[in-house]
Amino acid sequence: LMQAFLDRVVERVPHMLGVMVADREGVELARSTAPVAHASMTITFAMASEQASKLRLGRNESITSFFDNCVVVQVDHAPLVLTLVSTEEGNVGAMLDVAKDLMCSP
Amino acid sequence: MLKTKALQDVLRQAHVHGITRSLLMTGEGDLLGAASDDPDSDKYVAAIAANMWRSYEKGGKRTLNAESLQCLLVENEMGRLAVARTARVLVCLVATKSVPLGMLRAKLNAVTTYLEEPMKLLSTTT
Repeated sequence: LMQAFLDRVVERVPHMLGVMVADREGVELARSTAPVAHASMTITFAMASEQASKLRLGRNESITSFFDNCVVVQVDHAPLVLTLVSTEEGNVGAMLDVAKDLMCSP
Repeated sequence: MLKTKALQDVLRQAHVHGITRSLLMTGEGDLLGAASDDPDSDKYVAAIAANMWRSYEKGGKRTLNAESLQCLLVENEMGRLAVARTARVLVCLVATKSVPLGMLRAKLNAVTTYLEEPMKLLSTTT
């Protein structure tokens, strides 16, 4: 059911490849059908997010990483981490909006 | 030789419309140049930014088959940070929350493009 929901989320945003929900230790809770991100990316986010929160800019909310072959948007929703992956043409603004919607979903 | 005053002037030019800190550092987080309103914490921010960059670069290569990390955008409650590589050094901009992420990224691209040739010269002579 959750996978179907996340698949619908993926279809909403052009160029989006997949969504994953995991906890900060990298234990996956749910993902869309296409396997796009390994749970270890969540651990990378957890470590980076903890460091980012020490920048004296308040608590870290999200990290977006642009690679040559994809864009990864990761949003903190403690104790969970949302990871959204798109192609390099993905719309980051749309992905961040979708992430906010997912965080508000019951 | 790196002209630190000239470098600082270039970095300070990015300080418009909400950019509060511009840093140039090595991949290991050693500061090469900085322009900010709070110089005491420049080294600290550079070290954290470089560490985050290295983590994502490694993570991306290992799990996403990515060849390179191009840019990192970090959004916190009270500010934003952007990091990108030029030649073999990292450029980091810190901004207030009022600066849209796209604008921050565009400014970062402008600074990295401007510094690319001089930094390449530095890489070949060191």
